[in-house]
Amino acid sequence: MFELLSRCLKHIALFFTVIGGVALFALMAITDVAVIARYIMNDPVFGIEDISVLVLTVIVATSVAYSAWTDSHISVELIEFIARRRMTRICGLVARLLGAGTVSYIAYALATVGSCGFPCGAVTGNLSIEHVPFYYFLAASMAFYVLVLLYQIVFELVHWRDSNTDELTAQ
Amino acid sequence: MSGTLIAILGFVSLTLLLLIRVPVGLALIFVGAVGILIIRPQASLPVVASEIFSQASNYSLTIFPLFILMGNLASVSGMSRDLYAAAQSWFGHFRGGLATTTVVGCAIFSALSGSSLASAVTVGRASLPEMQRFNYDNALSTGTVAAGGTLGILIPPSVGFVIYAILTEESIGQLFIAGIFPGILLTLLFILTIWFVVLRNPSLAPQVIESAPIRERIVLAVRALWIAGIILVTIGGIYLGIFSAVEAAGIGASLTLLGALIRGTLNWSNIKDVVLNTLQSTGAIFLIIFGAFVFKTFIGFTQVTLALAHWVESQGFTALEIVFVTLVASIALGTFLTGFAVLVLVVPFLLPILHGTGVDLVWFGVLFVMVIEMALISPPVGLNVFAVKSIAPDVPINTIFRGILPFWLAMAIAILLVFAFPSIATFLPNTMLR
Repeated sequence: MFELLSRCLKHIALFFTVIGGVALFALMAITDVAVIARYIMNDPVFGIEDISVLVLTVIVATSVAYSAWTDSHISVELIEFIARRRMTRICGLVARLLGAGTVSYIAYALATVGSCGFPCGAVTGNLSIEHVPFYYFLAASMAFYVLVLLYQIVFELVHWRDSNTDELTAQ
Repeated sequence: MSGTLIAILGFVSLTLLLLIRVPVGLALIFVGAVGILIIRPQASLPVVASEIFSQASNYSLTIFPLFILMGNLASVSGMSRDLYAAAQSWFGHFRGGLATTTVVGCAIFSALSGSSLASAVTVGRASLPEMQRFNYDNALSTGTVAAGGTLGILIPPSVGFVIYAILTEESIGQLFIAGIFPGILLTLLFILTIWFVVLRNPSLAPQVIESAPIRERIVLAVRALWIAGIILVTIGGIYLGIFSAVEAAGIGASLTLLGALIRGTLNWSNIKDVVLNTLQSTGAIFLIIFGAFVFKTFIGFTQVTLALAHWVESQGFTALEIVFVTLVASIALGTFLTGFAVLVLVVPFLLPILHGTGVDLVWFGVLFVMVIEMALISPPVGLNVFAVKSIAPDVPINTIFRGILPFWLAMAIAILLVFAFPSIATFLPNTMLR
């Protein structure tokens, strides 16, 4: 069961990373084109900044999702030095529950506020590209983060009696 | 409930959340969103969504993935090995020379990478086995790598400067340039520290490697010229006003990619590592930025910063007193919070006060980033220490912290020097072409 869930999450993470990787090199190329057009050809490309920021949004969404999957969002690792293992695990569980609640709220906020689009002026400055799909993509990445946290919580609870689940959940 | 009380409760809750290991970004968003919900219930949802989206689509922040990509490409391209070999040929034959080489390698690699972790890990992978081969003391070798790595967020490009610039609306380019002289100063102080430590106890670095012939040194230096070229184009371009910081990041990443392609060091596995590492670091930084802006808005709603500014004004504190107390408090905070957490917590509180006292925010930014550097190697949560531990698993964590202590003191001296002589930080930005 956990293996199947883990595999599903891994595939979704892979989906995000493939898009993120392409977007990363695209952003580099777009920046180069902007520099070449502006300084060498003396003919700046109109609206290229709009494209840059939208590609950045894609990179950010995919990177937040990937960091969630690899559990690399920065946290303060102090509790391990001052509390016993049992307490550390309880705190970890509470932290993940709070995290899941917070990220759910973010996903909901992005999906509802972002759905307004053109009437709310949610468009890029020059090319007037609507923000809606990018809000949704960001919301989707947050939703994935929630799934990862929920998976970790359930995994932790099911394996509560095991000696060390941190390493297991990190798989 | 008054705004000040809500802000205090928010701060206490935030500390508790951080202590139980809620990721820094999420803790900031949680406290910010709940706080706004209490003050203006209808504003919470739109603030959370709009702050997050506006940072995710902030043009200035395109600098992050691009500079991180550049650093990661430099790591896998073999350029860092060339750099280490060149530095070793010039400095390796001195007593403690391999440690000096490590610091010089970190300083130069820092000009390609904005991340202290990347600098420590990349240079550490090359330097630690060498130092172990020549029987260097574990505390000295690991302490050198951890401390040398911190140069990554002072020498431009720097993740710390970008976050500070976004929070304070200062120029990223000016902050980058302001970091150059303090970065060089700190590098020299680290080298002096190594010499001093080894002079006191020669058994820490018992063996000296043979001096390389001058021809070999020149050949190795020429081989490392590609790195010098990239640094010259990116940092020089910003200084001369040819590029914006964002454009320099794009050009730097492309040149590094080109270098890696020409050297034939890129393969599918490398590219995968580069992409994954870049996404991982970018995601971690952006979640903190999201949190910082939601939290900053909450603090704005409470109006506690105005109350604080009025109080400071009524007490008649001078600007220098405020800066000094802030730095000392931040160093103390940095011993149990991560550096970026200190940055995003303290700066929004402090900004209105600093504006009122006329403090040069570029100078303050440099000092603050140096404080974050200290946090990166301060026990018990110094991130760099754990990064070094990951590449030197046999060395106990206490040994690494013991090795760091002299460098920590060197950092304190560097902060005092920049505090006493602000022109170390402000001279170059003031002469920048814009």
